Amino acid sequence: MGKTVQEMNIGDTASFTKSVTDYDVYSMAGITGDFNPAHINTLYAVETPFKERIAHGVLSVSLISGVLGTQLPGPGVIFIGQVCDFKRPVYVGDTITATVEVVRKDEARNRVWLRTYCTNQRGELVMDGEAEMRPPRKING
Amino acid sequence: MGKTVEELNVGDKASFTKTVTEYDIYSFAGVSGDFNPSHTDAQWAQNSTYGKVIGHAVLNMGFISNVLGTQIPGPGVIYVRQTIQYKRPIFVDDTITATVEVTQKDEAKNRVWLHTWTVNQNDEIVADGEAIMMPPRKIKR
Repeated sequence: MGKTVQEMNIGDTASFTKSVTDYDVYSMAGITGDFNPAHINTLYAVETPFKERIAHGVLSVSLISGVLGTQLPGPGVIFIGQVCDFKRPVYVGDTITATVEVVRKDEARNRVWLRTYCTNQRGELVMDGEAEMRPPRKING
Repeated sequence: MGKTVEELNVGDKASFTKTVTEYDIYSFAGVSGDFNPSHTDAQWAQNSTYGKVIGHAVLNMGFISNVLGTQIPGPGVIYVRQTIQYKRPIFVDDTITATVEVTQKDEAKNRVWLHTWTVNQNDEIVADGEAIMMPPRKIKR
């Protein structure tokens, strides 16, 4: 079970790092149906401003979801809302670190707000945003 | 190539429908590392708020991203920002329809705002939000 609102404090952070591969990009296309050629067509991609295929923006958000759902707050959390600003493209081979940090909490309403962001291997921000979460409640007994 | 800001009009709509299966949830876990037991542990999920396994909330954003990236505005678009509120869980075998509708545009800044939402087979809102997109520019010929 994850952390309750009482167990979480402003400044608590957690993160997860993963190198993005073609497997991830093609799987994400298959799951979501998002076969935008920017993600799955090399010939098209070389003509774009990015010059090569890029990962789906949602891939960065999914890494954030992993940190929220498995670490902070962790299992039992309910996702209320998210804001995601996409700052830079993620390329195949990039190593992305997703970090969440508690910025505010409301014990009475059982809500926690976290800054959520992803950086690449050069420390550049690729996604920045915020998540509003309902942490798990203590189980009776 | 997708639609330019000049070609998009307030009220333009597009959507995508998909039935969510265990394949999607397990693949999404494998891509994101999000093995939150609400998604991948049926035993644990039995005792959770929803009584059974639910899909990752970010799947909603995946379906929205699909419509934005392949239909409106379509290929060549750059994802600037997504806000999303999660209203209901996705259960296995739910049929989710993601819809985007142009609500505002700024030709000078090359930006389009879209209302983005998903509903399930009972027409209940699952996720609701807004996207800001930078549509593709006309290619010089």
